[in-house]
Amino acid sequence: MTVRLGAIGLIFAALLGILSTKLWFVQVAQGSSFEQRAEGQRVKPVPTVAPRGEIVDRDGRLLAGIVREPTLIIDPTQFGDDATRDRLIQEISALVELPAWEVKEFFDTRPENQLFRLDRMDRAIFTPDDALFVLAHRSRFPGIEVEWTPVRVYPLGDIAAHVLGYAAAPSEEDLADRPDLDRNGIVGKAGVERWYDELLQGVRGNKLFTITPGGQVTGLVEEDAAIPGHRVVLNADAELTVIVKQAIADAISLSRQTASSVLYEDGKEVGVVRSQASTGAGVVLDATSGAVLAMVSYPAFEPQEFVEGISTARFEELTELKAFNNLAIQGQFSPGSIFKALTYFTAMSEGVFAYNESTSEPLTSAASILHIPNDGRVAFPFRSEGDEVSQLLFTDTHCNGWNVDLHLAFEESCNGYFWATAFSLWDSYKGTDKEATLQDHSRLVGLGARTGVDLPFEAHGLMPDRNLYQEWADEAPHRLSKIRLENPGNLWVGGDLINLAIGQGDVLATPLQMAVAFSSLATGRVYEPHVVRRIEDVDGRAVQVIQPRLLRTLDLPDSFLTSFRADMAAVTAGGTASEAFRGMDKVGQTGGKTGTADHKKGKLPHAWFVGVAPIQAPRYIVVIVIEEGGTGGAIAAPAGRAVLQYLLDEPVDPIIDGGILGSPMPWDTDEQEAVPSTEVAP
Amino acid sequence: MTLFTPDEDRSFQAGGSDPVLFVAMLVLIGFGVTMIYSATVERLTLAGLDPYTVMRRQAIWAVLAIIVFLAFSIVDYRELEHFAAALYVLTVLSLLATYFFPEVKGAARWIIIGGQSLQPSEFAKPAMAAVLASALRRRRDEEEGPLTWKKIGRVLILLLLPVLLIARQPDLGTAVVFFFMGGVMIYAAGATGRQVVTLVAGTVGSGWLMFQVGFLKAYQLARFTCFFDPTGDPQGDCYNQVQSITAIGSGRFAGKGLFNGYLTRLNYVPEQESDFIFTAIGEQLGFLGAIVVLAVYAIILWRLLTIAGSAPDQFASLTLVGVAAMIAFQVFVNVGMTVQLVPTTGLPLPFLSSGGSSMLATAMSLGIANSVWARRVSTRLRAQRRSPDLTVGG
Repeated sequence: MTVRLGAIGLIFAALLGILSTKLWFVQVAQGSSFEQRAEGQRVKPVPTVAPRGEIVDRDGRLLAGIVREPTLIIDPTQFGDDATRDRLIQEISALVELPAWEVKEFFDTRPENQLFRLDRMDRAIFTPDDALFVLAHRSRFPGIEVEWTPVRVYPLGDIAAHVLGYAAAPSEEDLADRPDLDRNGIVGKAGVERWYDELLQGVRGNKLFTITPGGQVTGLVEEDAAIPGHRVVLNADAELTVIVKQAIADAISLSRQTASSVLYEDGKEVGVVRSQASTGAGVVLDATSGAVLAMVSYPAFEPQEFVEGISTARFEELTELKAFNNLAIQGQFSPGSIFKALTYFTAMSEGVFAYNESTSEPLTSAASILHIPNDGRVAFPFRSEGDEVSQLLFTDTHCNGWNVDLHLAFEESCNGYFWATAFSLWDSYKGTDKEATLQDHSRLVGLGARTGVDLPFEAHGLMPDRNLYQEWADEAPHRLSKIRLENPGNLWVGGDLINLAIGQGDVLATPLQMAVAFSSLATGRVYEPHVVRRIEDVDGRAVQVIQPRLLRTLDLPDSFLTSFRADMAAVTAGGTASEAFRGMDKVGQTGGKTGTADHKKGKLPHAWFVGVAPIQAPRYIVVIVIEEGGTGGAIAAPAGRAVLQYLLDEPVDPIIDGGILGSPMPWDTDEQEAVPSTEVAP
Repeated sequence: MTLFTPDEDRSFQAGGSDPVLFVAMLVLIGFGVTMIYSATVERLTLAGLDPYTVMRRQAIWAVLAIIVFLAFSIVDYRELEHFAAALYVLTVLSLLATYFFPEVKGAARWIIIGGQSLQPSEFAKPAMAAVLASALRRRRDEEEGPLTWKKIGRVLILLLLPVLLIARQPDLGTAVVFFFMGGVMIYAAGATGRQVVTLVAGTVGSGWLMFQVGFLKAYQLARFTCFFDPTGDPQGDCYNQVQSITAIGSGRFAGKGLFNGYLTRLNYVPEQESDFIFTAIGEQLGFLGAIVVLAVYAIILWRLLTIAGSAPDQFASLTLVGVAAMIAFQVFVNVGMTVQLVPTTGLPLPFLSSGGSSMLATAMSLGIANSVWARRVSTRLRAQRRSPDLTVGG
């Protein structure tokens, strides 16, 4: 018996020995790998949203900011029973001002074992007061947490909307392109919000929570704080932007009140088209740096609507109004007569002027016959000093039959003279490698290609020449008329150049391109335009300063600059824009060019105006276009004049009676809105 | 039942109880209550309940267990054999009774009296140890010599009914305990080598047969599958196995510290206060704590075998061998399943797992041992006296 008991004892000892050995392997030999596995499953990393960087104007005025808004975080695993769940649906419905059935739908459609949030994207209205109520009555709301999430706000509404763009929840494509994006965060979709998104985003933080297997959070292990996004300082000036917007709005009203166009068919008047203008764009460029001081597209949208979640109907309505298009960089318009500046530039630099009708030969400028007096204006050999009329070169039947030279033709926008100049160019260069000299000169100052502005979706414009037509003939023959295709040798003809010389035909340009072109011609320097001035960190230290980028110097003689400026000054002082500038005190410091661009039969022309100030030392370039607005001098020039008045610190005269120009700035009206009128004592 | 043994018997007693056995039991019970608190406090707090709920219940069982131990220490163990037949009938009836009570988690293991659930299969373990001991012990009129096949057959027949009833509950783990216990007792009673080999072969053979005829339920098969390949379904069928070995392994040498285990405190390991209580020890107290616990069991087993060796009669010896086998087997299977040494079964860890039935039944067993120790004979006297016949009508 004793021996057997000993044997049994040995068996028991063996069993315990096996256990101890196994425990040694599990806990000591492989302990660290089990520990790793344990650590991995007991903590839950929760990304924290980095507050998106602010966007401010050049004076620091807030255009896009961040407010912390309470959000309901709901943990369905903590409801307990169905009765509690039903009660919570009722309570939450009352809190967020949504019908109970809708809240129930949220509850029913979300996974049962995962946290979900109810926020403004779900049209839930959850105020800080509501949040405090929930926090003060925790026991009443099992499984309900309040999280303060940063939310984008655009305090100035639609001011500078197209420069700012907007930020919204990332699409599947965004997420595929940018693995760094947070599915629950927002991403810039347009404008500066998009172009500078990576700088604005900041760096997501991380919180490591200990959790139960059910996902319930039991404690915070460590926090990797989120790094707020950088602040973007624009070149734009909010106040100037408001003025440009008001001026465009009033110019559109002016157009709708006054503009009309007579329809002709076979030389007979068949009807009158009244203005239906509703869209326009404006750009103010700093000619000395390329800084975009204001960029307006009209009408605009409220970026805030995207934060709140825009409805499909509203989105379609705004799309119909072109509210989402930044017409300043995406609107491609026939430039019309403002393009004459390019013809002027080409004529002067090539020394080729209007066709001489009396000799039937092009007039070119052998240096010997050019005379440049002290005022810098090019004096033509066929015109005596002091004799303004008798010996003028060109009798322009399209300009009241006046005899005009280049200067007067520019001032009065005489088509005939510029046609004749184009004809001279054609006669001199057709078939040679300088055949496209007008286009080449235009490209030199930024036309026909993106300006390189720091905004997404910029349009190219269009600069037609023989190569382009050849390309179209090969790849897109529908864009050319049949007659051209039947004469492949004559795809590009003199008539095309003549059309181009006055900004008609296939040529297209964006308002920003025209601003760059005039800025270059007025100063001799071609800058890349920039809407952003500086990037700062959250403490205001500069992270990156956007330096002016000089693309090229045009190497223009002073005589050209003097002449071009003087001729632009003549446009506002006594030329096609003089009516709009009448009464402006500092008209002597301004210059410009009007444009009336036909683009489609039966439609009113686009009204253009480019203004320059101070004309003696150009700094501001103002471009206004009213789409299908009428004539440039009557419709666009008044808006340009108003903006120039503001830029020259002069009281701004109204464009129309009862216009919005001069209404208070949006940031001045806040207080008035805050006090309801009913509370005012009688 | 008489509380005091006849005077003539006292002359053979060395006297006194076994303090080592008692202290070892107290250590395990106290340890169990502490670990149960640690494993449940967090979960109960999170659920908004009283964090002491489970621990308090266990403490009450602990007090009852100590009372039961003392009571059985005082009672003369020899009375047990008088009631061997009654014990057997009571065991079978109570096991049958479980089928008339509602199932819990798909198993009919409990009878519920006055709101308290009791597990008859736990009490059946010491009861069957006594019943089998009574059947195996040598009668006064028997010749010295090897165990007869007749006796072995009687033991197997006695085992058959309770084992089948328990296996049908279903509680395969507990059913296997009885086989192990019976086997060890048969060996202790003097089975020949041939008999032992035949029995082991028979057990292995019938086990194989059970697999073949599909006696096992789907969840039992899944446990076997997980045992052989725990990576197969770590979130589903094998969740328990994977979580428990992870928790124990993460304790490493010295443990996370008492009240500091993440997995065993936050409900990552299921049944962490009952069948898987050892995971809490492994995670929070490490290899060191686990070895200490095993050492305490070793002390208890050593005491039981020592007492069995010095028992005044063969009935006492065999009963205590059975009790020791039962404890050893449960410790091995319970701890073994938490480290993937054996497949998962629902066996409790004696004194540590929460639950009253196992605690009371084991305390009862040790109480019997203590009672035997108090009536032990010295080695010298033992040589003179052999198999005192105290049974009426054998």
